[in-house]
Amino acid sequence: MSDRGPAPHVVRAYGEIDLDTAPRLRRDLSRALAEHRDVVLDLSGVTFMDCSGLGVLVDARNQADRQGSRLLLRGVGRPVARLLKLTGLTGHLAPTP
Amino acid sequence: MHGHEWDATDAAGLAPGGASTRPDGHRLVPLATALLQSDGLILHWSEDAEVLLGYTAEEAVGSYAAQLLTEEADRPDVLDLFRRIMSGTGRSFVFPVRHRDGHRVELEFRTYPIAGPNGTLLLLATASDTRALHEIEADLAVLDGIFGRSPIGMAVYDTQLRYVRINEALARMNGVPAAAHLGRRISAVLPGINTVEIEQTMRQVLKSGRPVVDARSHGRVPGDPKRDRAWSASYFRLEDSTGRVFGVASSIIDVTERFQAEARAARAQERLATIAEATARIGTTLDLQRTAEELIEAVVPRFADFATVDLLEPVLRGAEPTPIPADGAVTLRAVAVGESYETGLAHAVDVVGEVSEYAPDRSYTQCLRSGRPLVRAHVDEEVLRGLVSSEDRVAPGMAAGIHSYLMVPITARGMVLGGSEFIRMRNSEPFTDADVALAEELVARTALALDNARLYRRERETALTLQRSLLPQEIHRTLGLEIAYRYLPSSVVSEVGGDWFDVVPLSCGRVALVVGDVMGHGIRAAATMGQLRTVARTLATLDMPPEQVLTRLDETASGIGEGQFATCICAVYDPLERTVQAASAGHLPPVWVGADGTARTVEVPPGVPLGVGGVAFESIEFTLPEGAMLALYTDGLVERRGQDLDDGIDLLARTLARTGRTLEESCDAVLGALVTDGTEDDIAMIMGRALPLPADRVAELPLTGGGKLPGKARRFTRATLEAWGLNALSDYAELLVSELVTNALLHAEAPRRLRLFRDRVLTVEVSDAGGQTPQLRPFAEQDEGGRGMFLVSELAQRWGTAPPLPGPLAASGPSEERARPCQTADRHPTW
Repeated sequence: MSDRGPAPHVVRAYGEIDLDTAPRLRRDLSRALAEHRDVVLDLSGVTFMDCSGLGVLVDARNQADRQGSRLLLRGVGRPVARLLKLTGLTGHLAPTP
Repeated sequence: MHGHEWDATDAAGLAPGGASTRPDGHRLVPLATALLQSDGLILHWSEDAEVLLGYTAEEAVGSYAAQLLTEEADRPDVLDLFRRIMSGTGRSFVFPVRHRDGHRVELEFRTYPIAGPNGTLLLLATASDTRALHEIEADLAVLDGIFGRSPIGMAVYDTQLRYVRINEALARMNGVPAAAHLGRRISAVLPGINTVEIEQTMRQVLKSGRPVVDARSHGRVPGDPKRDRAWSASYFRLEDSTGRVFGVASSIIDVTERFQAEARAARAQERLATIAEATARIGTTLDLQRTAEELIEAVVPRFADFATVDLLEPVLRGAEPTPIPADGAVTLRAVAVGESYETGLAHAVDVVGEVSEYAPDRSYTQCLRSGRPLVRAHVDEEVLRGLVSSEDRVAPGMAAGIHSYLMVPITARGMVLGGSEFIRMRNSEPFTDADVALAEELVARTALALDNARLYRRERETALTLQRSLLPQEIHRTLGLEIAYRYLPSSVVSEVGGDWFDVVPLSCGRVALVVGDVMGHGIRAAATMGQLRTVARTLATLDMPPEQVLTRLDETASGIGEGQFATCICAVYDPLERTVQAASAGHLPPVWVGADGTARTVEVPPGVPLGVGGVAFESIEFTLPEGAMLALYTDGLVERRGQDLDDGIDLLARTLARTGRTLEESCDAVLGALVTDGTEDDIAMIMGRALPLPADRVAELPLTGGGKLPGKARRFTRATLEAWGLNALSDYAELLVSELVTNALLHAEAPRRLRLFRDRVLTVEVSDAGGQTPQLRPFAEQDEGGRGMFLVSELAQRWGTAPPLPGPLAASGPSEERARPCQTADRHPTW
C-alpha cells in the first residue's frame, strides 16, 4: 500500500543511553530526520536507557510528526521495552507494525 | 446454764449458824410423859412435861395430878375420866389442863394403863400441845399442798443427786411418772437435757449451801420429745435440825415460751445489726470479686455457717444479663465462698473460679428463673438431692450436717445475675421467713453493687480493648536501632489512660519514635489517643521533620474537641548519620545513655502540649553513637505522689546508667526501680539502642567530580546488589538510580550522594545540597521531559523527600522479595 521510496535511513544506537549519552543520540537523530523522510532507529545494541533517552525518542517522534517523516523503532530490546511500557509510550513510540 | 446464787443470810427465818438457835427435832412438838399411880399420884415427870406445863419434876412428883393440873370445877369430871381410863385400855383424848402460871393448855393425851409392881395399876400418859400439833399439821398440809398441788415443778434429791421426792407438776413436765424418778439421777431419767450442767449446779449448791436461782436448762424430755424446751430452776440445800446436809431441792418452771420470745428478740436484734453492718460493708469497691466477698463476710458466721456467691458466666464476661431460658441449663461460676469453721463442705461446692451447670429442671435453675428465693428450712438427704447440681455432692453435704438451706437469686434491674446460697449446720436454727427477708435485703444490696461493678468492668474492658487495639500490635525491627518497650495500663481501679507509643519505620532505615500521653482517662482519652497516634504515624511516614509533625498534631488535637490536651515527643533516628532529631510538645525530656553508661536528660525545647495551639515547636538534633541508648517515657513512670518529678527522672537516669545489660533487661530494671506497687497512671516507655550497621545493609557512593555520574552510579548499584545477592533487583534499581541521579544533577546542587540501604525493602537515596523538591506532574505523550519522577513512582513502592539534608531526594526501591508484598507499599509494582 505504502509508496516504496528509497531504503530508510538507519540510525543505530548502542550502549547505555542516559544523561551523558542522550545528547549525542538526540543530535544524530535530529540530523537524520532532517535529511531523510524515512528513518529507522535501530535500538538492538542498547543495553540501558532511562528517561534521558526516552526524552530523545519523544523529541524525535515529535520532529518526525511535524515534518511528516516516518520514524520506525527497530530492535526494541528488553531495557527499552520495559521503559516504554512503564511510561505508557509503547503505542506512541513503537506501535506494533 | 445460767442462774445465780442466793445469799442465805437474806432468807428470812433461815439464819445460818449452829444447832443452838435451832429447836431440836423432838422439841418441835414437845411430848410430855408422866407416870401416875391409880390414885393420881405423880411418880415421873418428864422434861417436856415441864416445858408444856411449867412444873419441874421436883414440884410435880409426889403431887396428885388432878390437884396440880385441874381446876376445882373440872375435878369431878377429871376423876370420873381417870377412873374410866384406869379400868379400860389405852385411849387418847383432848383435855384442858392448867399451866403452872394459871393459863389453860389444851393437851392431847395418850394414856396407857400398865401393870405396876405388886399388882398395882399404873398409868403412863403422854401429852402434847394440840395447838402446836395443829400448827405442825397445818404446816405440813401447806407444804404438802405446795409440793403436791403446785403447778411449779419441785423435787428433792439426796446428796447423790438421786430423786427422793418429786411432785406431779414436775413429773408431768418431764413426761415421766413420779415413781419412775425415785432413786435415779436426772441424767438417767432425762438424757435429752443438759444434765451435766444441772448436776454441776446442784453439787455446787450442796457444797456451798448457797441457793441458786433461775438456772436455765434446756433440751428435750419424754413429755415433749419433738421440741426443745427451756426451764428456769432454783436449787437450795436441805439440812436437818442438826445442820446435817441431806439433799438438795429444786423448783422448776417451764420458760420455753419466754425463752423463745427472748431468742426471737435477740435474732431480730441480730438481723438489724447484720443489715446495718452489711450496708456499710457491701459495695465499697467497683470490683465484682470483692463485692461478692463482702456479702460473704457480712453473713458468715452470724447468719449462716456457709455461704456462696455464684454468677452467671455471661455476666462475669461483662455481657448484658438476659432472662434465664425456660428450657435451658444455667452455667454459674463460683465467685466467693465462705465458711465460719472447717465445715467440710468444700468438697460439696465449687471452689472459687470453678464452674457448675444446673440442668433446666433443677430447683436452683427454676429459682433463678422465677427470681424468688428458695427456702428449705429442714434439709434431709432427699431434699439435698434436689438442691445440688450433681449427685456426688449429697453425701459430703449430709456429712457436714446441712440442716437448713436458703438460696436467693441475685437480681438487678429485673435481670438475674446469679445466686447466693446460705447454709446452716452448727447454727441449729432453721431459716425463717424473717431470715429470708434479711437475706433478700442483703442480696439486693449486693446485686446493685455487683451490677455497678459489672457495668464498670465492661466499660473498663471496652476502654482497655480500645486502648490495646490502638497501640501498635507489632513493633518492627529496624536496622541500626534495637528497640524495647513497655506498656502498663493503670492497675488502680480507676480507668484506662491515654498513653501511647509508636515506632514508625521511615525511609532509608530512619525510624520515628513517638511517645504521647493524652490528659484524662477513660474511653474518650483512649479514643483521642488513637486518633493522635494515627495522625502522628501518618505525618511521620511522610518524612516530615518532628517539629512539623507536632505542629500538625497540635491542629488535630484542637480539632478533636474542647479540652483534649496531650503531651508528645517525637524523635527521628537516622541510623546512617547516627543522629536524632527530636521535638517535644510539653513532654518529659528523653534520657540519653552513652555506650559507657553515662546518662543524662536531653534538653529538648519543652514546647506546649498538643491542643493548646498557636505556639511553634522546635526540634534539636543530637547524636546517638553506636551503643548509645535513648529512652522515651510517659509521666506515669516517674511521677509519684508526694515526690518531685525531677527525683523520678533522676532515678530513671541513674537506673539506666549502667553498661552490660540488654535493652530488655534495662526495661525490667527501670520498672523494678520505679514501679514498686501498682501504678495509678498508665506507663509507656520505649528504648532504642544504636546498633552497628552491617556492611551488607548499606552502601554509599559520593557523586562528586566529573565523569559520567549516572553510569557510575548504575555500575555501583549493580555491583552492590550483586554483592548483596540481590541481582534480580538490579535492572529496576539501576533504572531508578539513573533517574534519581539525573534528577539531582539537573535540579540540585553538590554535594550529592547515593545511598543504598537494605532492610525489608531496598532503599535508594540520593541526597543533595538543595534545589527544588522533586515534583510528580502530569505530562502528555508529546512532552519530552518530566517523566523521571513518574518513572520513580512507578518503580518504587514509595518515594519522597526526607531530612536531614535540605531538599534531598529519596526513593525506596522494589521489594527485596517479590513474593512478599511490603507492608508500607502504596501500590504494587507493575511488573
